[in-house]
Amino acid sequence: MIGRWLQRIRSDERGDGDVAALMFLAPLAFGVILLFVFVGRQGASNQSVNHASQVAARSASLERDQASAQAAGADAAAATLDAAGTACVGGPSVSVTADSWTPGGVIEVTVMCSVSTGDLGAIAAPSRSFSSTSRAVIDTYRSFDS
Amino acid sequence: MAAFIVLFSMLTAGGVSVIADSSRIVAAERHATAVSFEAARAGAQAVDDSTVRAAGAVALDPNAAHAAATAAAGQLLIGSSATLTSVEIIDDQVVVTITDRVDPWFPGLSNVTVTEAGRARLAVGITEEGQ
Repeated sequence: MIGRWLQRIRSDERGDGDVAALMFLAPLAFGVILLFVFVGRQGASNQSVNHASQVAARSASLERDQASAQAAGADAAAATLDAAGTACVGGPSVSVTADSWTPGGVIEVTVMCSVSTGDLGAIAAPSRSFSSTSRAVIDTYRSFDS
Repeated sequence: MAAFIVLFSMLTAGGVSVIADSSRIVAAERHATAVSFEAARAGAQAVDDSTVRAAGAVALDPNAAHAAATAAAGQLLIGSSATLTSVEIIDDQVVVTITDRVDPWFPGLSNVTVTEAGRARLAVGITEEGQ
């Protein structure tokens, strides 16, 4: 009696297809979710780097000499990225230049940030670097020592 | 099963495209906003020298403001797909409008045009306006 019941259970294949489909679909769905997270995070990181370069350019343009402008730009970029929660591997790289370090000159700030994707290793997400360049004009009526 | 894989792949690609396109549109808007404000600020510094000398009052030189804002926008937009749409001088304010176009990656979507205006006005002060 019990032997026949066990044999019937072993030979019953009902539901096998559902299990197989679940074993295929679950990792696939998980991978797609991670892919969406990856793409969304890339967009957010890009926004952060763009914003950081804009803030840095404006901060640099408010200073009164080249050294202070470069320091202010670097500080502003780092602080903006930090506030946005964007962690750059090894810290952000900030370059502050100008076509002319005089009133009316244009300051150009380039921010580069390599964002870690280590926590998305399940989909082998590649690490990506973002770069953004923004410019700001030094005020016309401002004392500026080049 | 094949139909499922095709449908699933299309939905996934569509989802990724929508997320990526949204990000690109927001980035274009922010860039246009930043450039318009910077150009407007540059234009709003065009003080009319003759008015200052004659009356001691600070006023905007409309022609110089227009030229300064246009020149600044030209420099700020180097390397960008955005373009300067207009520079308006309204009383003591300079209004700069920047337009950009984003071509969505998502198939079937038409181009998105982004238009942002930045406004700046002439103000005088040391630690606060009017000082």
